[in-house]
Amino acid sequence: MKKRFSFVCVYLCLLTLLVCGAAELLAPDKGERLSASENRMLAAFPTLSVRSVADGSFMSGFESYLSDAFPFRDGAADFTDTVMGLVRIPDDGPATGVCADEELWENSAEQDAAFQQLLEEERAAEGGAGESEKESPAESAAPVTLSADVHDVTLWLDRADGGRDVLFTYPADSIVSFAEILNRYREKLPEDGRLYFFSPQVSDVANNVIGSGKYVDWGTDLVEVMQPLVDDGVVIVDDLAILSPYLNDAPSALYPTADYHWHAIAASITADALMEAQGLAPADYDQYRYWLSFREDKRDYSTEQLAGMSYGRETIEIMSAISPAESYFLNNLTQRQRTTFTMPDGGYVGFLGGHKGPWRLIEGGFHTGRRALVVGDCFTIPLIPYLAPYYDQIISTDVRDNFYSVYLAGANIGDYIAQYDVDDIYVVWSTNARFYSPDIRSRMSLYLDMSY
Amino acid sequence: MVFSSLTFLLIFLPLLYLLYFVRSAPRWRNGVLLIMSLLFYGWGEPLWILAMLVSTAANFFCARALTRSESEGARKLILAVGVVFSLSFLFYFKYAAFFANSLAKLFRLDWTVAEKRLPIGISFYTFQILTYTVDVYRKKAPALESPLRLLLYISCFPQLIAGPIVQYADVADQLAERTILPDEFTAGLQRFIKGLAKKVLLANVCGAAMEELTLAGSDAALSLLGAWLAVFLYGLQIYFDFSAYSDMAIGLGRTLGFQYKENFRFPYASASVTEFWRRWHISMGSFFREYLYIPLGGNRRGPARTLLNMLVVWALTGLWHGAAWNFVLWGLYFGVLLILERFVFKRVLEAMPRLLSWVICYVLVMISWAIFYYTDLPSVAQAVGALFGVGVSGLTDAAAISVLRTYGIWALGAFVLSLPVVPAVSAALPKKLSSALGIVLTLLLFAASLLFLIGQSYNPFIYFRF
Repeated sequence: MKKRFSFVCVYLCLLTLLVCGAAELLAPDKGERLSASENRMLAAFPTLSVRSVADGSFMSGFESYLSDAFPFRDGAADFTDTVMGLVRIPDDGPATGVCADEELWENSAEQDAAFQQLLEEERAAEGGAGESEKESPAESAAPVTLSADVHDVTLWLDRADGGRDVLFTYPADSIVSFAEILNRYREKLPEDGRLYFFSPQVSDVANNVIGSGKYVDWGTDLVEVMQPLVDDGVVIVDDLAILSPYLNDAPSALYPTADYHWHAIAASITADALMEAQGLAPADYDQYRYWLSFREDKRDYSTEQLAGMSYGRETIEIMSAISPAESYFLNNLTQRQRTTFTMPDGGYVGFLGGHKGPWRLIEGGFHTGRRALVVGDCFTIPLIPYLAPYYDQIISTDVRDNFYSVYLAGANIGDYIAQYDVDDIYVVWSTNARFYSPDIRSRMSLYLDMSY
Repeated sequence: MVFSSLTFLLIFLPLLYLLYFVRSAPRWRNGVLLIMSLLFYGWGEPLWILAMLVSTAANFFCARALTRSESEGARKLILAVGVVFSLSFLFYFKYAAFFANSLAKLFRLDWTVAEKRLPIGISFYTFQILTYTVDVYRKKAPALESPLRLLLYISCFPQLIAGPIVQYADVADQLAERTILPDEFTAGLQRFIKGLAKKVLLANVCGAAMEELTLAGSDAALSLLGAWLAVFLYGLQIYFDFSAYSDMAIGLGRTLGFQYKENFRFPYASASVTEFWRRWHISMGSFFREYLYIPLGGNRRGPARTLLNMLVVWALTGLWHGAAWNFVLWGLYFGVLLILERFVFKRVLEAMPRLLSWVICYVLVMISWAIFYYTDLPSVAQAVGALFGVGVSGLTDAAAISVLRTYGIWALGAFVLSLPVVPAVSAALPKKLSSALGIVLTLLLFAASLLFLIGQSYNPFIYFRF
């Protein structure tokens, strides 16, 4: 009896293998397609050729295809997730936990209050240079004051009739102060490390030029003024010059009209220019065509939902991510928890809006041996997918108020740079955040080295 | 191709069984097995079949020459040719760049030799080829008339790429003819499923945990807890990974009529390093003892020579695992421990409570995995130092706590299963109940393994790189 039972069971296993194998071979899905739960493109049937067989690429491709084409694959993935979840010991609270929800942020607010005094002192020091905290770029259309060495930075718009209108003026002393902060960040990097700084313009600025008829181009002397102020290894990037050729001739809209952020295409053009300046071949835009799937509390946002999302009167082109990509919340220096790339709260899903975290770790699945830190506002988020092919890991932080928690960070920015062995830093502050303001300068300065 | 891939499970294996059992004639079965074995090996890297063919052909002719030769001097020369030829292949692919670069570093020469791509399983099949030529030389087994049969012995897919290392004399008769009883086939498949479950449910999960920990550790120094957790997880991963492969190889062999010797016997239950090596990778230990240690004189030429022989054997054992100094260090570490156990602490160990000696042995083996894991010596020093609190970031760290939370219970289960608990429980139960539970468990493990295999992408085989 036992022998028969054993015999039947074992042959049942064999039969299962046979049936599964036959099902895969007889009803193959040969097309390339997206796995929403894993955020990656599933393997397509490989090309069969003498060469691909000889070098083994057909066989490895076939293995991937067979694995990815398995029926009920998502169900199996859910099963393994469930089993692993059953034996997972839950986190024990905010002291060592990962900030995964608003409740934790509320808890952190009280803790952060203790640091407010420090921030106020730093802000006072940064603001001591004399510029007005309330001054807005849009309000500041003062004529450029040139001096022999350092002068105010201007951003201008070129009129169709050949004239030029100055739109913003950035005070010289705040530029000098910000340059010093960038130099302090640079000091944290290895000798061959690079720090790139640029300030993308918001749609309000760009749309003055794009299709306006009145203006045909834009420009700034930020690089001319600032580059001599920074140390070797700090590169001031003229983002306006990068986007200039595309203002009225882009593959698709650089900016929306119903929102002040930039579109994926603008970020990708900028990232490609940055990489070309480093002597690196820009990644093919096709690599970015995959939609990122968000997963929050088992709630999947399908690609269709994302693509069809609209703001106001227009449909926003949601940023696409490089596949595969993993995103983690980081806090207390080393705690990490897998999460969506951006917070799917409110209307700003899909790479728009800043990110709470206070730190994010993004792993694109590329292995280059280098790591980058990105400090900035909501304009940095769309940039990150385009930096991913060049770095093993990208860590990102948004130090603005309501996006950064000193308490949850658990360590200063310098510690993160050391912890993650960062090679390059990208500092990206849009016009909206005003990098030269005492607020941003004080935060960047204080959070770099503050003691815990 | 690996046993735990869907290609193998869903296509290769059913196809093999269909073709293999459609006829019972030995020549048919050997033919099917040879073709399928070459397909199995060539699936990943077809061109490397040539290296195996050349090495096999050379040793076939050497063995034939050995049979015909009467003079002992000539026989020794032929044996040397065969051995040197086989080892030269291994040396060229695996060690040439390592030694050349080590010499360049030693003499501060400004040149570097690029490492060759290593044909899969070359360390394993080279040893098998050697056992054939040496066994024929020793007249333990006759030389084969057919080169195809020798190729079948070398390329037989269950043990081809990750062992167990099968000695020719052990399977010479089975190569000619095999009887496969239904009970044997059933038991073989059950063993295969057990191995598959060990690989997919235990080794892969421990590996994923280890990867998560080392990823965090690559960013900064690990804590003391993190360092021990890393070697603990790696120890479990490598054990379940390798022993699972052996289980699957032994099980598959059994379904095809081959009886391979056991390769692992719960090594983590050992109370001494000597016992550990009687339970861990037994086929490799047997090979080095039979084909190196004893020919070097073993322990018959006095204590000094015994010590030297042991160190040579263990240095080479380490080097067999990989062309890097950490592997040599790892081998010597065990060599020294075995010497100490044999000549210094033998009586102390015998008098010690088994639980205490087990703990000591377990810790010593865990330390060895820190040496084994990192292929550069500064990292080895850092990792071993961390186990003793040198250069650690603290007692605990968030990454270690996180890994403990996520994988702790699973790893604890794996640890319990690495000890002979299941056989003990099985023996304590009534025989009928034990058998029934065993069969039900096999079915459940099979289903769970298949689901994990489909649902998870982490599926490496550690011992493939050796």
